[in-house]
Amino acid sequence: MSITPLPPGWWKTPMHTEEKWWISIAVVWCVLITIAMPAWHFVGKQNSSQEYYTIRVEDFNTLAENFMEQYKIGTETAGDYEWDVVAPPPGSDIFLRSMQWKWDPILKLKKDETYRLHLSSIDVLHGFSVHPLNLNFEAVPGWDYVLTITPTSSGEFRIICNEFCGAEHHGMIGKIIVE
Amino acid sequence: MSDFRTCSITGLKVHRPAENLIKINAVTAIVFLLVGGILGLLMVLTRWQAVHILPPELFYRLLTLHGIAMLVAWIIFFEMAALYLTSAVILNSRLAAPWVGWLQYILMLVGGGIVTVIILMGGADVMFTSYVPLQAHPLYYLGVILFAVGAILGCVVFFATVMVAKTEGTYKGSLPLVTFGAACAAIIAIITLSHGAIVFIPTLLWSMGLIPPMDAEVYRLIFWGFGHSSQQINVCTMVAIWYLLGTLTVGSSPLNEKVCRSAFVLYVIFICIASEHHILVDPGFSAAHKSWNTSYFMHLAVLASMIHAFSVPAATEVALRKKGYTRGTFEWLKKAPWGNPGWSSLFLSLVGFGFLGGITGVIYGTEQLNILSHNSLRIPGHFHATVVAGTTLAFMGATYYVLPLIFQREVAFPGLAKIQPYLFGVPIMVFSTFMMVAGGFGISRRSADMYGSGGFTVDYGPMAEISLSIMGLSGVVACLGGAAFCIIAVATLLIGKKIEAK
Amino acid sequence: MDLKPEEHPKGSFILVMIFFVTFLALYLLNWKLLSELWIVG
Repeated sequence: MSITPLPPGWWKTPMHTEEKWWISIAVVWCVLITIAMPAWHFVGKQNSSQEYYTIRVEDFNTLAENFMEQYKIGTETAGDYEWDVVAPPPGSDIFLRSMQWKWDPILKLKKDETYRLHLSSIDVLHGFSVHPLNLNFEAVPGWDYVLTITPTSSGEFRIICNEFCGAEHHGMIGKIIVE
Repeated sequence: MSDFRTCSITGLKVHRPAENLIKINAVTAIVFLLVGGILGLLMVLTRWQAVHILPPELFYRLLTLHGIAMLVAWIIFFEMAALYLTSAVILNSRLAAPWVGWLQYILMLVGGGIVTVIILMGGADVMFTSYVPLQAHPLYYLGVILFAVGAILGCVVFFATVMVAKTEGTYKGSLPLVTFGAACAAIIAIITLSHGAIVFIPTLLWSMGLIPPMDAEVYRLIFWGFGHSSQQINVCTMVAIWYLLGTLTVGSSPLNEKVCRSAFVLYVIFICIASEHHILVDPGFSAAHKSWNTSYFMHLAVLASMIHAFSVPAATEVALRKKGYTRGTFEWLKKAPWGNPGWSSLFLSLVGFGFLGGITGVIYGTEQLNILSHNSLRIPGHFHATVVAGTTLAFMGATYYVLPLIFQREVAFPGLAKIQPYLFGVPIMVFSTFMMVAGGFGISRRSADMYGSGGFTVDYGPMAEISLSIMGLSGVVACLGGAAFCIIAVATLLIGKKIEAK
Repeated sequence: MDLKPEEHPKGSFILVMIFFVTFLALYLLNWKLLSELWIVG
């Protein structure tokens, strides 16, 4: 019984067939799902980026502002917010700044082109979630997270913040356009 | 005159100071369950946007409290009761240093109380995770630290009692499996609560303006060393309770103690390092580090769970087959005591934790698959399956035995008690499932308004809306099932028929 | 413990195999869904 002490010798009890089979299957499965992760880095096209740098919040902000000024093609407003619309050339370093409670800028990208997306926050943690793809990464203050990204579908996508960041967290929604 | 009474049902000697501590921790646990449950109802009626009952500020505030009340208070107070039960009572021993046990209770109560009040006063709208640089009032962190210190003391009393029982010879041979499982839970608890202290002490000092803030990523790493490992305290305790319920309901014995105990040891060795599945899509850690942490370690703990997933039902199957239910492959299951809430809790808990919670946990915690899951509703869908359908339901099942054995009262409203695990367990599993489906459509967790407000809005489509409605309805029914449990427990204590003891 | 043939936990074995097959299916499905996302790394 599970509530009674065991007499000595319990260690020597042999396993039953069903137990042996199940544990073998479970061990093989656990090995497979362990190998899957490094394997996908070689065969798969969606991985967590390994390029990140520590950066001061002010410095990231400056880089983001310079970027927005360099490639700005217009503005867009909705509700109380106004965004710069920015069209960077393919292959370039692009910046997405998150802050309470806005994503800057509105990026206009080209389908099947690759960009180096620098993701960070200038205040608290924010969650970068591209809707409706359900592509999710974390924007962390003090860290410049570089995602090498190639949009493979075109359209207008929302960037939803999905890391709680304060009172207006639910209103923190941005946009990415892919042509 | 004796500090002990002898239980007329099991024959075990019950040390009165241990019994008092079990009672007060169990009762406090159920009070927090009730509070957390009411908050859960408010949460679900807000996320179900057709109802949308709470405004944003209140939603975020009460969500923080819901997390603390359930994940920290209800569960850990109950585990303290379980620790005293599995040491002093199961081992027929006196409790070592009961005054330390009372210190455990007071610290946890005061800490929990401070945290609750500060949250309600608006001083900690930071969620249970309190991620730096979000900042709460210093008393919030102090409250959590006091709570954690109290819980560590409870674990210390547990180990001291086991040592006392061994040296005073109150049991012979190896520890019973249930106590062994509880010991593993207590080891994990000490390690994980220490993580909590390590991360909250500098955060407290920062909130007082004494030191600069910790790096946001370092905080997340250490916090989850506290945060996820503390869930493993729950897993270990829940599994120990599964074996306990198997024995109490159908008289089962583990098929192979070596297998069960090795699986528990796997939990202890490997789970404490496993925090990085929370930061898989964060900067700051290499892919090698992330997958090594989330797999080599986690999947060995997953192996342990998979072992118990067979071991627990197999033990009950053998016990039922020995009673004569050997026709076909599943007669034992059909003839199992489905009217016994201890049994139905056990089985539903197994399904909820293993099937729903376990499978989704491994999937969402896979390095690259997390890209599809992080911070969506899939995550709370997963952990409501593990912690609520799994652990909470198992604890409810155990309560149906603690009430007559420790509180010495017959369970009140037995008709309701018979169906309560179904009334709670099944809707919670439906709730979890559809929460995960909704999350698959990109709906995020911890959001007071998924459509957005003030700027751009989001359209999720009708399938997402339907999922949320099912989630909402089943969530409400589950709250009724939870309320039923609290009513039964409270009624038993107030008006339940006393069982005469020697 | 020694078990007679009719006491073996065959039912539990089938239940965990159902669990395993479900696990396998959902796991593979999720990798498939991931592969349809934008290229990122």
